[in-house]
Amino acid sequence: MKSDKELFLWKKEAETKEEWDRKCTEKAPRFLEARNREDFETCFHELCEHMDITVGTGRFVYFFDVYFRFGTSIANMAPDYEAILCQGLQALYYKKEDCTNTFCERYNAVLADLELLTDRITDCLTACGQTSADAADRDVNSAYTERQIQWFRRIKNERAQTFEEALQRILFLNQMIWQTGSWLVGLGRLDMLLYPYYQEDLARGRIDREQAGCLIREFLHTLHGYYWYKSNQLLGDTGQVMILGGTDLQGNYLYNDLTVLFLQCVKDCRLSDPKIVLRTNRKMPRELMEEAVRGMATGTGSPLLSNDDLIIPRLIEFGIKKEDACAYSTSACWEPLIGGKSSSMNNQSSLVYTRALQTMLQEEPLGNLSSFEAVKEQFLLCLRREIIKCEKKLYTQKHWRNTLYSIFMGGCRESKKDITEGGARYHHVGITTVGLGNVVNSLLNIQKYVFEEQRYSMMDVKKICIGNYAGYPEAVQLLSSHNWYGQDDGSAAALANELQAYVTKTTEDFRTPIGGKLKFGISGPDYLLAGNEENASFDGRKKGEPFIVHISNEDLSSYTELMNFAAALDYGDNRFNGNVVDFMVSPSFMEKHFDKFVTLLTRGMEGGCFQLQTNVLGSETLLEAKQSPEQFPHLIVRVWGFSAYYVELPESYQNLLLERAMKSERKRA
Amino acid sequence: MNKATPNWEEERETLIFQRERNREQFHCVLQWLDLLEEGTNLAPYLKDHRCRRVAIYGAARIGEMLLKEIRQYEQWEVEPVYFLDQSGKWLREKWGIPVYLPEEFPDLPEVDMVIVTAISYFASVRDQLFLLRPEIPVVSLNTMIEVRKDEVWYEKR
Repeated sequence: MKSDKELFLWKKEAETKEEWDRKCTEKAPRFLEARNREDFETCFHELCEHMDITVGTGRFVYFFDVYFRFGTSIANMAPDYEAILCQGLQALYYKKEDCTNTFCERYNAVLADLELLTDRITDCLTACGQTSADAADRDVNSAYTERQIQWFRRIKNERAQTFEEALQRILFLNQMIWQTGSWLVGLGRLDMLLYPYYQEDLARGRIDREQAGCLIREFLHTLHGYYWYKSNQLLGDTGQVMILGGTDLQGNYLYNDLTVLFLQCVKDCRLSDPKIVLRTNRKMPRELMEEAVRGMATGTGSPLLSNDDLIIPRLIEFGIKKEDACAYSTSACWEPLIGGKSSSMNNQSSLVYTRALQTMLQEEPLGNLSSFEAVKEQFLLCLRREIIKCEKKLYTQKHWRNTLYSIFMGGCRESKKDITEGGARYHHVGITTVGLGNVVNSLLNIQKYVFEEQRYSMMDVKKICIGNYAGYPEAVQLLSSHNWYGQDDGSAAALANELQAYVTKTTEDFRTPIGGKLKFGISGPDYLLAGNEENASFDGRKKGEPFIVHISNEDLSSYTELMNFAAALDYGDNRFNGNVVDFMVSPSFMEKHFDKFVTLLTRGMEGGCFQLQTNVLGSETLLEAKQSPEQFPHLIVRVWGFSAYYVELPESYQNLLLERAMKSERKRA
Repeated sequence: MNKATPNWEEERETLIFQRERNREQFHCVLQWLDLLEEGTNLAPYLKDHRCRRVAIYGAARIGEMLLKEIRQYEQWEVEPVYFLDQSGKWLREKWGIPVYLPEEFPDLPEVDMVIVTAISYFASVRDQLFLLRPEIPVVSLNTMIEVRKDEVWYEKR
């Protein structure tokens, strides 16, 4: 049996070897030809007719046929799960008289194929129930199988009847979206979505709270399965995020028993994924924050806290209707998204702030930069170049149409347009950014050492950055000693806001070909990869070293200072595509100061933190895990916006986490 | 007399590199043509960077094309001052301007920018020139073209 890591590597290798295509052709000869024509519907038909159906012994049916690979599709969103819960598939068809364009025909064809697949699943389940060789097995599983057959029959023309059936429908839609090449499939607001079914089951005595917990745990384990297949850049980067809690139209905090149950189950399961985004607001009860912190204390990296008091107003200002803004979920990591109604691809390009600094130093005549204001002005001109590159990429990229996603995306049915043609109710785009902290530190160092103390000239700055500190060994220590970004003296936040405002100004009139606006945020996944490619910066960071992670600063001696800094940042206009404060906390600290930590997070969110995530881990454990990985197969860490098993990460990520943990402990000892 | 055995592996590597270099140059020229077809050229880039006097690194075909373009538009007010090229060993002048070896760069007259037309070698050329005269900006022709193309796209969008 191969490990998930081996399977992940095999998947990556197979993608280049075209081994999968060969296997696929054996099963479905027309698939590849249709894929070359970018004919989604024929591919989907081939898939539904020929994919291998795997029925396990678990409570839920959930499988993939990894050999069917669709083309680059629109991704990193969440479908409208409600559409498959509250009605059967047949209710979704366009009636004959409404079927007025090609999209409608394709839409109905895909629905018919989906029905065909449910028939095949039902047949398969029936056959398995009858032919199971082991009588004991048959007894144990017969109740499951019988229920599963009923579920897949009912999915055609009835709403989900029970909490368990609702969970199965979510799984079914989720697997089909993944299967059609739309990766990073979000799970939406599961507590709100499932509550009516849960409540009904409780009222009718069909389940109790404990049984519901069992169902949820099995649901989580089922989603966690195939995570090697679902992983995007790194093993664990699956984008399976569920959103819990929220705010109603009157500003009250919304949560229910399922909110707590999901938090508890994720804590109990200790899986790296699925993960949680817990929405907070000023009225969120302390008990819920305590539950969240108990979850964080397990080290799973869940939940990430997301501040409704800041995010909802930003969404409304951006043009999202209030009722939709209140129902926001997120894309794969932290980027606010209107789940089930928005085809906003929020992670489409990455703006690397330090590139502008490099451009300025390499291409500009430095003799003209005689004041800090002139440096800033020139830097912004170079930044504009990077922004335009990002915009061009967003404007020109093409995606396969995805009729299946269009069926389960609010707005497409009404507009009779595919999701890629702007059919969804919202279709904005987002970019992430990295290196803001490094640029802020570099510029403030330039201000101090070039223009105030005149210790270095601009030519020295160039030599230091391009020459990677050769000839300036003392500068590494000196320039890294300030680490302004994260300090609450106001200067770093003010400069960060100024740079961000410039990005806003340059991007505010951008529109995609289908009319989407652009948003961006401070957080980005590329702090390590992009850092590897970039020259040294004037903040003590050498060539190839990682950038600062999100909003973080391990040099600070208090968490409060970082939170104050985050609160001083301006998240207005289009600057809300994820702004995460990232803490390293040692398990012993968390244990000793649990109550204080709950208070800290509550105050921090109330005070104006946009989002917050934690890595609760000790450097000693990480070091041991590095040395003896076989003894720590389930040690979970938080990477950019997802959680992963530490031992499965590339060494560079392991080292970065270890370094940050050590730094953080030393400062807070 | 021993005849040296050909090193096929080395030869293969060289051919692959040459193919890649040709591909890059072809791509660069195509981009440049696209730019011209859009009705614009590299002038705004040079103007934005306050370039009056430039050196051109690479005195081969693309270097010649750049020289001609600069000369064609007098209103750019940009003067190509000299070439930097390995052929400076045996060639002191090409198309009316002097050719020097890159090693001679520190002793040459002041320029506002060096434009590198040997695009496949840009990184090593930049590093070499940076060590010799760090104060002078060194830019790849490719970068100039890309920046201009992005700008044109931005203005038209």
